[in-house]
Amino acid sequence: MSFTRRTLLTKALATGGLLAAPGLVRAESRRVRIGYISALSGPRAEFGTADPWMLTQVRGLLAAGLTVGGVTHEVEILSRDNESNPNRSSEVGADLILRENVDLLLVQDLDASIVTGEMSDMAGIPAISTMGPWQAWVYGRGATPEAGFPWSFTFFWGVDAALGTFVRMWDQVATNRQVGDFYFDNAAGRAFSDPALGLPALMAGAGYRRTPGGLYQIDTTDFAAQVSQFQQAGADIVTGFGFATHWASFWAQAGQAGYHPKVASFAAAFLFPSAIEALGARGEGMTTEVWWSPQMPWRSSLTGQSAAELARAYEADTGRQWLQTLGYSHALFETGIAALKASGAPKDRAAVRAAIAGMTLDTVVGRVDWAGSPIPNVAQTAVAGGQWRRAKRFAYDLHITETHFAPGLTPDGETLALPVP
Amino acid sequence: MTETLANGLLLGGLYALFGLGLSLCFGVMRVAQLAHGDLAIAGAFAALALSDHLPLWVVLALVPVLAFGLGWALQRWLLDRVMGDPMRPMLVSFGLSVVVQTLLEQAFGPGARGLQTQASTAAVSLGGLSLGLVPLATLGLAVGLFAATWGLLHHSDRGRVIRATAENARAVALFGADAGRVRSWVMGLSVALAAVAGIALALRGAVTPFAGGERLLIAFQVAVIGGMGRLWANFAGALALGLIHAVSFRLDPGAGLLYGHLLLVAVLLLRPEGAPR
Amino acid sequence: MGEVLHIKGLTAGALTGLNLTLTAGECLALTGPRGVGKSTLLRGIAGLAPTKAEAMRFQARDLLTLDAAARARAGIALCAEGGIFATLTVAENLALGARLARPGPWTPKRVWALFPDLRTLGHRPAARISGGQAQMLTLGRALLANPALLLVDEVTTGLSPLVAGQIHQVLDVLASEGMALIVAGALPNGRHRSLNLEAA
Repeated sequence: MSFTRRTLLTKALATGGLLAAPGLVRAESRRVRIGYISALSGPRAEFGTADPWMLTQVRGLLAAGLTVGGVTHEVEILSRDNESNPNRSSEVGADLILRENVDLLLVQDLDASIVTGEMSDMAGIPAISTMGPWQAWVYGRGATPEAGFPWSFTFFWGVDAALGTFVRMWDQVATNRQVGDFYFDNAAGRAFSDPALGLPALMAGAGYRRTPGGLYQIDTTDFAAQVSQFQQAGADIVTGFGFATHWASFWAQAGQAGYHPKVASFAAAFLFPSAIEALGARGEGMTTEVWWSPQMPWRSSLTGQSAAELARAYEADTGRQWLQTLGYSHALFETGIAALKASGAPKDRAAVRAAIAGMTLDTVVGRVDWAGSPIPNVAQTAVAGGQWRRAKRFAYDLHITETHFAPGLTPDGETLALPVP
Repeated sequence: MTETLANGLLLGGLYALFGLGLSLCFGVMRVAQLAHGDLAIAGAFAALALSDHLPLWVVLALVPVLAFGLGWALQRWLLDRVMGDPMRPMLVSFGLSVVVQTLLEQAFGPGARGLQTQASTAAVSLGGLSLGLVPLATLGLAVGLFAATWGLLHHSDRGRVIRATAENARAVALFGADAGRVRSWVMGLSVALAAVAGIALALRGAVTPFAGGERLLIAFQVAVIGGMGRLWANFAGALALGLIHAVSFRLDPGAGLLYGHLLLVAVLLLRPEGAPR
Repeated sequence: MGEVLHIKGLTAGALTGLNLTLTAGECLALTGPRGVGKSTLLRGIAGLAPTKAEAMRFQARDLLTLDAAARARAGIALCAEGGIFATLTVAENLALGARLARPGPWTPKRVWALFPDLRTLGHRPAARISGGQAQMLTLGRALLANPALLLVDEVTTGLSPLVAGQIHQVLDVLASEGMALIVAGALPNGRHRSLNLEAA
């Protein structure tokens, strides 16, 4: 797999070299080309739902070009859909880096950022990615946090912080401190369930006892085993990691078995309002990690909009409820455009790279700080804890209940125990 | 362990529903219909969309009827034009599965949707076990639909013509039957059964537009373990698959559907024609 | 007796320019060596083999516009060797014939009286009956439709002289009752008209 990809990459590099002949480069010398990769279709398409709107907004901002050092550059954004597919990610990555010869690559998808990170490092193209816990991005590329990368950068929160919010939310509810946990078996699920670094270690440290429900496979539709295990152990808290469909099956079976825990925090499954709505009335009280919400006290460096204003503008234009991904998609362009400006020479890749490495930027998702980060190429961002509650305008609203890893954010109140049926 | 076995049987009921339509379709047309899973999910989404406007029982009755019409039309105007070489209708159905999935994503978005009702968490106490009403009803429905389909095939004129068509589609014309119409009818029934299975899945949890592939795999295993077109063997195969999955979810959750796949491989090795009658 | 079948200038397989007229109660034997087109002609009349003809009428209806199913419904029955559905039972095979049940003398009772085996073996899968029983089944099944024209393709091939004789007797009875028949293969008694396709 990795061999094939590398072979493909080498071939593609050769082709790209031909296309990037000096004459062609000179003709395009003033235009800055930004490549953008996200999942617009396929199973992860929900992560890209806000992208068309976000791209329209950003293209509007850049319509008059980007003026750096008295020179105005036309800016072209080349948006590519990776179809939620790693192979397609490497295709569109090669296309943007080698054929389109972009000056900067922005990647809004974890799988894609792992594949294209390697490509941009080989081709010498500055790249910024987000939407994946930084540990997954570093370890997923077979590297270590100390090593760093030549051209690729990422900003996102870490698994440790997200899980830390889980435990802190549980502390707000009176429970018997017995936790049942189960995880979808992929790289992230194994990281979440890691006995030394994942949830089990955090739970033990905070005085929670654990009833392990194990790892499960993607096509599982029956969680009766976990339900009966947790029920027998009398676990007041259920946690883990997986998709919304997995949780929906588990939660229905828990209801049928008469198992009613007091807290449910299932990482990744409750990111989007659709997942909560799929649970019907029983979506009330689900707790989740919160990357971004309209309550975040920060403003966009591009538009000056507050988080709330950005979310409201999205809702007004699309008629749909705000999404956590909107903040990060927007912030990705904040960092990219800030780097192009700060470089002093947007067509100079080394200068752009240096601008990213030296960046400290206040964005709509909070401060993105590569300059002062202890981990090379990684800027850690805020993550909060939140709870979905019944609302009027949309079916459910996300309330902020835990802010230890999001300094500056004020919680709406404490986490409440799940309603007793 | 009793609970695990009971849950395995209930899970088998869901699997049986997914397998029934596919087995019927293959039994008569000899076509591996690769859009079966996606059409099931389409049925679930149709039910979801309609349940905003109509009472659930109306939806449950209406969607299979609509699905029948869709299946009928698919066979009449699409698949029947490429019959003959079994590869061509299979490829067409593969294309269809991609189209259905894309349309669902466009129409409903990529997120999860569920058909949650009051009944979703209702349970029945049986000998100290608390069993979900929806899974029980699914199993009951599976038994009912298998019996009804079997009755149709073996105790009605239409069923005799269907079975005769499966054996020799040209010869049924001698008895006044139109094999093309028979195939359309069977495909209608197959898609209607798929829709019922999809709705059962949505009632049990949630579905996304991308769930069809996994459902097709289950349907195929059910159809192959029992032998394509052998209804009661398919039903027994579905229950066996459900039991194996439930037990392995309990004892070795990380293995997922592995032991079910092993059962399939064992059946194929021991009896390439499917399980004994 | 009225005209049942009229064919003019028929081309099917190896046959060209064939003319044929058949009246009710008439039994026509098609003769000629193997491969001359006896089966093709019968299948062509039934609508199962492609044919071209200047005219093709059945009881004053234009056959050229009717497909095989419509011809069966109009009253044309074909019984051919190997024409049974092996996965259906004997009774179910008979039921297929009865689904067209036009008005006429042939009822299940009369078929059972003629071929008692078809009754006693009713529940047996047709895959597990003897060759003679299978021929009886195809004939009995065709009769249940009460056709006006019965096309019989080699149903006595490979049968014992006793059973073959029995079947030939039945064909005589059918003709005497007014059914029109075309039989591929020579008939034992000389009462019937025969048509040598090689010469035609």
